[in-house]
Amino acid sequence: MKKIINHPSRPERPTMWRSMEEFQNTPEFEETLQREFPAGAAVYDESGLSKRDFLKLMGASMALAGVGLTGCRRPPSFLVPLTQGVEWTVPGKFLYYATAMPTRLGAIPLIATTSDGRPTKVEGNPLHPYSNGGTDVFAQASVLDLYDPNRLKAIKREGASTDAASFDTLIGEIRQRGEGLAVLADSANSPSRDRLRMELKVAFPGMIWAEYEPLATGESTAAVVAAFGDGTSVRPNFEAADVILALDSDFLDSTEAGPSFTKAFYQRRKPEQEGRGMNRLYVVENHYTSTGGLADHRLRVRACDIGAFLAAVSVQVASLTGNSALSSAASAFPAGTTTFDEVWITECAKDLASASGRALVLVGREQPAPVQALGYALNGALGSLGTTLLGYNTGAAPKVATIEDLAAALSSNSVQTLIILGGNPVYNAPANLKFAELLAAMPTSIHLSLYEDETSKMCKWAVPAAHYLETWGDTRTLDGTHTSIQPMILPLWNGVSQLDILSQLLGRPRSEGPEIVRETFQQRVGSTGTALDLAWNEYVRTGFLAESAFPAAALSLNTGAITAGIAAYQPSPADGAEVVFLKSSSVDDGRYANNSWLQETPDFVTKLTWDNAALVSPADAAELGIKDGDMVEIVAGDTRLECAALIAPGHADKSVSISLGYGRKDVSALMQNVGFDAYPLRTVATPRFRKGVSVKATRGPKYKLARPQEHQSMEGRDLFREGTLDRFKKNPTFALNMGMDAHLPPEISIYNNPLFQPEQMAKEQWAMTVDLNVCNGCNACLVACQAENNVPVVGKDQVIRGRDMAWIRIDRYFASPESSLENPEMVAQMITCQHCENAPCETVCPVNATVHSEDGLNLMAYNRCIGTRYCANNCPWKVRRFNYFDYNQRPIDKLYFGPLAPKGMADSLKMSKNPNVTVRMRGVMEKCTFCIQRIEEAKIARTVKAGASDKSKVPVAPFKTACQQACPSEAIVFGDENNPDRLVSKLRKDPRGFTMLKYVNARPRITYLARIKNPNPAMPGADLVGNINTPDHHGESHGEAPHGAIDPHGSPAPAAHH
Amino acid sequence: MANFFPKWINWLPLKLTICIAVIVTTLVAGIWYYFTPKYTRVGYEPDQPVPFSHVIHVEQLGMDCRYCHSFVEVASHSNVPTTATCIGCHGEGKIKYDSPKLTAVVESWKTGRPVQWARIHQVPDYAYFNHAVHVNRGVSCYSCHGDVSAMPVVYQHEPQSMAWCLECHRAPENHLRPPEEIYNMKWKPVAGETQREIGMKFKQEWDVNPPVTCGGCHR
Amino acid sequence: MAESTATIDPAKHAETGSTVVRPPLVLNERTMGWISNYISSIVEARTPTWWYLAMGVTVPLMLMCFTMLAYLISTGVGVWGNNHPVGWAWDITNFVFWIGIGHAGTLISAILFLTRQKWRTSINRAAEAMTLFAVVCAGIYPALHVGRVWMVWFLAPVPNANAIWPNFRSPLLWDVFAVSTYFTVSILFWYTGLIPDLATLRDRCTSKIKKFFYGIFALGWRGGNRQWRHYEMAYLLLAGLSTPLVLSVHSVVSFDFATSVVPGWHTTIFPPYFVAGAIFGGFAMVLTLMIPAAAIWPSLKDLITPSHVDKMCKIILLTGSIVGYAYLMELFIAWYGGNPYEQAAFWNRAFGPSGWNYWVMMTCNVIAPQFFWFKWCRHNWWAVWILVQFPNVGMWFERFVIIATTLERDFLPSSWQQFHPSIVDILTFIGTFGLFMTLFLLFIRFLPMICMFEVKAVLPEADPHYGEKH
Repeated sequence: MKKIINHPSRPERPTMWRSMEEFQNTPEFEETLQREFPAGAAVYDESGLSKRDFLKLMGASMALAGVGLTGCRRPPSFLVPLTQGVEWTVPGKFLYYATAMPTRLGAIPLIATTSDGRPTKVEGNPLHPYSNGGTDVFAQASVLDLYDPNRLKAIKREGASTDAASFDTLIGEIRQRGEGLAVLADSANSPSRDRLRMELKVAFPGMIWAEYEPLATGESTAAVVAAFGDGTSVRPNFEAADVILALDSDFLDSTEAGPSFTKAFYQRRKPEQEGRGMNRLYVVENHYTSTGGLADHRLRVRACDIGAFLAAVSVQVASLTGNSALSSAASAFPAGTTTFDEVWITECAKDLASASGRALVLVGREQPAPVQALGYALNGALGSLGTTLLGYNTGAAPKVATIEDLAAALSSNSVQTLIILGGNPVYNAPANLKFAELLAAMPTSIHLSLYEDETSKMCKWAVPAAHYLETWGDTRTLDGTHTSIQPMILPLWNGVSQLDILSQLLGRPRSEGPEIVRETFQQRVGSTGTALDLAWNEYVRTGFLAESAFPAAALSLNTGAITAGIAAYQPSPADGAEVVFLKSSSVDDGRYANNSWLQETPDFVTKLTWDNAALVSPADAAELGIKDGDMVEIVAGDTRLECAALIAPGHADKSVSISLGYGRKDVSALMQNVGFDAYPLRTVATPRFRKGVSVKATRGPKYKLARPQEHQSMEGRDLFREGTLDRFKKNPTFALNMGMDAHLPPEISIYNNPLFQPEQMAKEQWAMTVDLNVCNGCNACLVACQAENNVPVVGKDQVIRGRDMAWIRIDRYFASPESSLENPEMVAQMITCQHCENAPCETVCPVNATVHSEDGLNLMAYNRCIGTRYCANNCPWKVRRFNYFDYNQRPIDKLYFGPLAPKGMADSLKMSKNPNVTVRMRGVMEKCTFCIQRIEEAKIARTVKAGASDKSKVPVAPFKTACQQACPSEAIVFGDENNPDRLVSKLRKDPRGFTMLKYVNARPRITYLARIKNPNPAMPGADLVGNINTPDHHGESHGEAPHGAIDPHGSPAPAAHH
Repeated sequence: MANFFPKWINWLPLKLTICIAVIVTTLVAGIWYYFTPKYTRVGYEPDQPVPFSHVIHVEQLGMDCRYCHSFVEVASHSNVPTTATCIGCHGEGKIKYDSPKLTAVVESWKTGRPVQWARIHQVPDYAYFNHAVHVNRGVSCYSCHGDVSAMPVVYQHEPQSMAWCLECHRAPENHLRPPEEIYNMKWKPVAGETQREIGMKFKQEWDVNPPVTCGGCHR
Repeated sequence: MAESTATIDPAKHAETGSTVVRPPLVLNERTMGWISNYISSIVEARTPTWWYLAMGVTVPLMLMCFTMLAYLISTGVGVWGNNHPVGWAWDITNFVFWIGIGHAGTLISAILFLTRQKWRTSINRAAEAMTLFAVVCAGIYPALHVGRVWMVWFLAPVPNANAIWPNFRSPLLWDVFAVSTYFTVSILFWYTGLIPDLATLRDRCTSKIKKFFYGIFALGWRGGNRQWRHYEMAYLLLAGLSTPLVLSVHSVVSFDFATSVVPGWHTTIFPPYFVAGAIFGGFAMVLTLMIPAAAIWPSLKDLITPSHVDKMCKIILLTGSIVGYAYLMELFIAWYGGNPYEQAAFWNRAFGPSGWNYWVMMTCNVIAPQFFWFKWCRHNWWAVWILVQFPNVGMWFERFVIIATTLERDFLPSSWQQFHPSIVDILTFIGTFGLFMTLFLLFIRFLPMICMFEVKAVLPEADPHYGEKH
C-alpha cells in the first residue's frame, strides 16, 4: 500500500547561518556578512576549509536538528548536503586538530574534536613534549565558553552596537595621534604577541605596555630574579624529589602550570614502584587544598606566618647542614609573634636535611618575594639546585609595566588612549588603584573581551574577542615549547584576536589566515620556501615546534641579594585575623563566571557550587558562634565585606579564606546573585593575604549554600581505604579485608546467573580502576564527562534541592581516627556507576530500561525509561540521576513554569552537544555509561576493518573514556579486563585493589586501589596518619586475602543477611 | 409484581454485548494495524526539489550507489551527494544543464545554497545506525531500502521499526550476501542455493554476531 | 472470638441446656420490615442539607487534587520534593497508605464471611465501598509518580513494534497486577452483594427513572428460591477467591521494599507486618466513617451495636500490637544481625534528622491502641472515634518512615540528603481525601449503606427454630 504524501513547501530562509540575525535575514546582518566575507574569502592553508564550507557544515547540522518545522504525521526534516565537498570532511565522522589553550603561566596542549565543523570536545595532546595527554577543568569547560550565547556579539560604542568600519576609523585616528597610547594586556605567553608588541614599541615609542593577571603576581618572578638573576626560570624536578615540603603551595593544581607539571610526582607516589621508594610530602598551608589532601604530614599555618615558619625550618636545616649563607638569610627574617610546633619543624628539617640532594622545598607563587627567595636559599642548602630544582634560560624578557605603573601614568593624564586586551581590570584590579575611576576619565578606551563585562561597560569601545578555538595564534607551554593555536571554526560572533588588533594598530591589513603567527614561526625556524612549508605543516599538524623548549641553565644562588631582600622585608605588624585570597576552583579569577558547567562543579574541598564563602576554622566558628551559611562581616581598613561563612575542617585559626571571582553584578543573568566579591579587600600590597582584619558574625538571615555533598564524615565505613607504606609492605592486600570484608562468609549462591555463563559473555569485558593514591579530586574527569555526555546543568536552586545531574562525583570525606575537625585527613574518591555484575538497579526496573550487556556494561535505554526512580532507590552508590525537569529544554530559572516557560535551547548550545550521545528529556533516568559511544565506535571500527573476514575476533583497539583521558594524574584506567595486555586487567588484580560494599554482592566493575601514606615515624601524630579506617584489623590474618583480589569480579560475598 | 420494564429491555443485554464486542475488536484491530511503523512509515514518498530518478541513473546508466553516496562504506551516515557531484555530469555545457528539472541544482550551484532534499528514512535521534558496519559485512542496501534502482521517486520500503531491526539482528543469515553483490539491487541467490544457506555460510566465516542488547544502538 | 462462633447452631445449646448469653446483633427487637424500611428510607428521603454542605467541601478538594496532578504531568516530577537519594517520598507513601486503608473491606467481607462472623453483616457494605474508594485514591500514585506518564503502557505485556516485554522480575510490575486484580475482585464482590438490596430499592421506589436504573443494576432479581441458591453459592465462591487477595496485595506491596538491597528495606518481616498494619489502618478508617454515620441516623445504632464497635476495637488492638511487635523485632534483628549498615539505618530512623516521624509513628500505632484493653474505651464511642484517629495518622507516618527517612541515609554518606515536601506534595495528598470523601458521600446517598438482606438473616426470626418450645 503506497501513499503519496505531499511535503509542506520549503521555508524561505538561508540554509547556512551562524546566528539568529542571519537566520532571520536581517539587513544589518547581510551587511555585516558582505563586509566580513567578501566573495572568494581567504582559504585556510592547512585544512583547505573555506569560510563558506564551515558555514555550510554548520547549516547542514542545524537543518538536521530540524529547526522549528512541523508536519502532520511526523515533523518533516531535510537532508542538506554541502554544495561542494570539504577536504577531509566526512559527514558524521570526527576530525581532530592540534591546538592549545593559553593559561596564566603557560598553555595546555590540546587535541580538539570537531564534528561537521563544530568543536565539541578537547583532549590533551599526548604528542606534545610538555603534556601527558591530560587536561584540567577549565580546558574541558572552555568548549562551553565558545558557544556561550552571552558572549559579546558586536562592536559596541558606549553601549550601542556599531559597525567595524567606524572601529577601523578609530584605529586610524589612534595611529594618527601616535603618542598617549597605553596597552593593558593579560598574560598570553604568545611569541607573536611579543613580536607585534616589539614592533609597536618602534612605531609608538611612547607606548606604555602593561600586563596584569590578578592571580599571577610579580612576587614569584621577583623572587627568581633576586635569587638567580634575570632571564632564568626554575621548575621542580619531582622525578628526583624524595622529600617535598610545600609551603602555601597548591602545586598539584594543574590549571596554571599544565597537567604534566606534576606527572613525575605521581610516578614517584606509587608505593610499588621500582628503584627509589615512594616520595614523602609535607604540606604547610592555612586552608585545605587538594595538595594538602595527598600530604603525608600537614600542618595548619596562617598564610601570613608561612615566612616565619620557613625561616624556622631554614634555621634548623642551616644548623644541620652547617650552611652559613642560609643561616644568615634565615636569621635576617623578621621574627614573628606566632609560635609553631617545634617538634614538627625539627623532625621535618631533619628529614629534609637527611635527604639532601633529593629534597625539594616549594613556596607558594603568591607569597611575598623575600619568602620565596628564602625558599630558594633553603633549596640551595639542601643541594636541590640542579637536582630537584632545575633552572632554564628564558632569555632576557622585555620589561613590562605593572598595573600600578599604568595607574600612575593614567592619573598623570599622560595617556589618551587605553587599549585593554582581555582581562577585566575594573572588576579585579587591586582595590587601592581605583582603576574604574581612572578608566572612566580616559578620552578613548577600548576593551577586547569575550563578554560585555564590568570593564567593557566602562570603556568607550567594546570589541568582541575571538575564543581561542576561533582564531589563529601561538603560545608557549611552561617549558617554553613553541605551541600552535589554530581555529576550529570561524568566529561565531565576529570576534577578533589580540593579534588582529595589534596588527591593525601597526597599520597592517586585516588578515583572515595564519599570516601573523606564520611570520613569527618563520623568524623562529629561520627557514624559507618548501622547507618552511614543511616545517609549518608539521608544526600545525602536531601542534608544537620540536626542540623549542627553554634550554637548561645552571642555577647560581645570589645569597647576598636574597639576604638583602629579606632584611628589607617588613611584614605588616598588624595583628588580628588574616584574610586569604584564593583562586576559585570553579571560576578561576572570575573569568569563567559565566560558564554554567564550572559554576555547578563543586569546589573539591568545600563541595560548594554556584557560590563562594568565607572559610573559617571550626574553632573560630565556635568562637563566632556561627554555623554553615551564617553571614559574617569581614572588615579590613575601611572596606567591609559581608558574606556567608562555611566551616572548613583543617583550616588555620585566626584566618579566613575566600576565593576570588564571585559576586559579579549586572553582567549576565547567570552570574546574578552568585557569591561574594572579595576583590575590594585586595590591594597592591596584599595580593595573597591581608592581615589585621576583623571578622564578626552579623545576625543576618542564613544564606542558602548549594552543596551536592552535605555530609562530611565517612561514619567509620570502609568506603575509602588507606594504609601506611609499612602496613602495605607487611600485607600488600590489607585493603581487601577491612571492616566487614574481614568477616564475609564465602559465597554460596543457589542462583546460577545466566549472565555469567561463558557462552553469554562477550570477548570484551569492560572494567575500570581508580587509584586513590594519586587521585586528588581535581574535578577534571567530572567536567570532561559533562562535555562528552551532554550532562545538563540544573542551577543553584535545584542543587539545593539535591538534584544535581553530574554522572561523576568526587566524594570528599574528612576523617581522622580521633574524629577531630581541627586537623582531619581529607580524602577524595571518584564515584560513578560501578557497572555491577549483579546490578541491583536492573532487577527492579519494571520495563527493562536498564539491563546488562554481554560485555559487562550496565546499560541505560533512555527511550525505554518511564521514570519510576526505583533503580535509583536500589542503587547502593546512588549514582543514578533523574531528570526531574526538562533541564535541556527549559531555562533553569523557569523550571517551575512548566509548559508556560519558553521551550528549546540556545542555537549555539545545540552546536556544543556531542552528536553521538542522546540528549535526555525530562522524566528519564541517566548515569555513567562507561562512554558507550566510544566503546561502540571502537567495536564498529574493528568490524568494519574486518569486512568479509573473521578478523572481527581480534581485540578492540585501545581507547580511553572521557574521564580517563582528562585525568592529569592518570588515576583512572579503563579497558578490557579479559585482555591480559591491557593495564586494567593487571590493576584489577592489584594487591591494593578493593571493591566497595562487597557484602551487597553487586560485584562492581570498578576497582579502587587503596591510598598509601608514607609518614615519617618521628613526626608528631605520625601514628594517626594513614589510619582513617580501622587500624591494623585483626581480621587481616584470617580474611581470605589474595583470593578476592585475583577474582576479576571482585571478591565474591553474599549480602550479609540473606 | 408490577411490570416496570418496557419490553425492549429484554434485548438490551444482548445488544450491549454485541456493541461492546464490535467496538473492542475494531479498536484492537485498528491499533494493531494503524499504530505501527508498518503503516505510518512504509510508502512515505515526499516530492523532492529535484525529480531525481534512480531508475535512469542506476538501472539505465548502470551507475553504482557509491558514486553519489560516496561515504557509505566509511561513515555512519550514507551521505547525500553534494551539488558538485551532480554538476560533475550536469555542469554547464554538459548533460541537460538547462533542463527545468535541474533548476534547483543549478540554482544551488550558482548561489552556493545547498539543495534541501526531503528526508525519507529517519531513525530516531536516540538510535545510532551505522551504514559502514552493515555494508562492509554483507548487508545490502536492498535489505533496508528495497530496490531503489526501480524507484522513479524514492519511498520508504521497510517499516524500520525496532522489531524489524531485531528480526535481522537475531537472524542475520536471512540477509547476508556475497560482498561483491552488496550494491546490486537485483541480486538473487543462484539456482540451487537458498539465501539461508548462503547467509549461514557467511555468518560462520565472518563471525557475524550483531548486537541485540540496547547498547548496540542506543547511547 | 469464640463467643460468636458459638452462635452457629443455637439448637445444639438448647439440647445441652447450656445457654450462652451473647449480645444480640440487632437491638430493640427490630423486625425485618423495619430494617428494610429504615435502610431504604435513608436513600429515599430528600437529600439532607448537611450532605450538600459536605460535598461543598470535598468536591473542591477533589478538583484541587486533579489540578495538582495536571501540573505534575505537564511540568515534571520536580514539582514534588523528591530529590536524589530520596527517589520515592510522599508519592509512594500515600500509595501504600491508601492501599492499606483499602484492606479492611475485603477482610470483613471475605474472611469474616468464611469464618461465619455474623457481626460483619452490618458493616461489610460500607467497608467494601470504602475499600474501593481507597484503592481509587491509591491507584493515582503509582500511575502518576513516574517521569513519563504517557509511556506507562510499557508496563502492559502487549506485543509492540519495539519487541520488548516488561521485566517480570520487578516487584513494581507485580504491584500493577496485584492492585488491579484486587480492585476488580473487590468491585465484583461489592456489586454482587448489592444485587438483592438494589432489587428491594427497585421494588420500593416510586419514580420511574429510579425504578429504571435500580432495575437495570438489580439484573432482574426476583428473590426466587433458585436465584437465592445460586446467589449464595456465587457469593461463597467470590469470598473464597478474594480471601487470598487480602494477604497477597499488601504482601506484594511490601515486596517493593523487601526485595531491594537498601538497608532498612531489605527484610523478610515485611509481608506479615505490612498486612497486619493494613488491617489495623483499615479498621480504624471503618470506625472513623461508621461512628459519624450512626450519629447522623441514630436508629443505625440498633444495627451497628456497641458489640460491633467493641469487636472492631479488639481487632485494632490485636493488629496494633502485631505492628508494635514488628517494629521492635526490626530493631532487634538490626542489632542482632550485626550489620553496621542495617544498624545505622534503624538508628537513623529513630534518632536521625527525621527521627521525629519515627516517634509519631510509635506513639500512634503502638501506644494509642493499647487503650482498647479497657472496656470503657471500647464502649464510649467518643473515646473510640478519637482513639482510631491515631492509627489513621500513625499508619501514614509508618510508611513515610519506611520509605523516605530510610532513603535519606543509606550506604554512602556522601549522598545523604534530607527530604522536604513541596506544597504540591501536600495539596495533592489533601486532594485525595477530597476524592475519597466525595465518592463515599455519593455512596451513602444513593446506595443502601447496610446490607439489608444479610442483617435480616442474623435476626432471631431468621432462625428456622424460632419460637419453638423447649
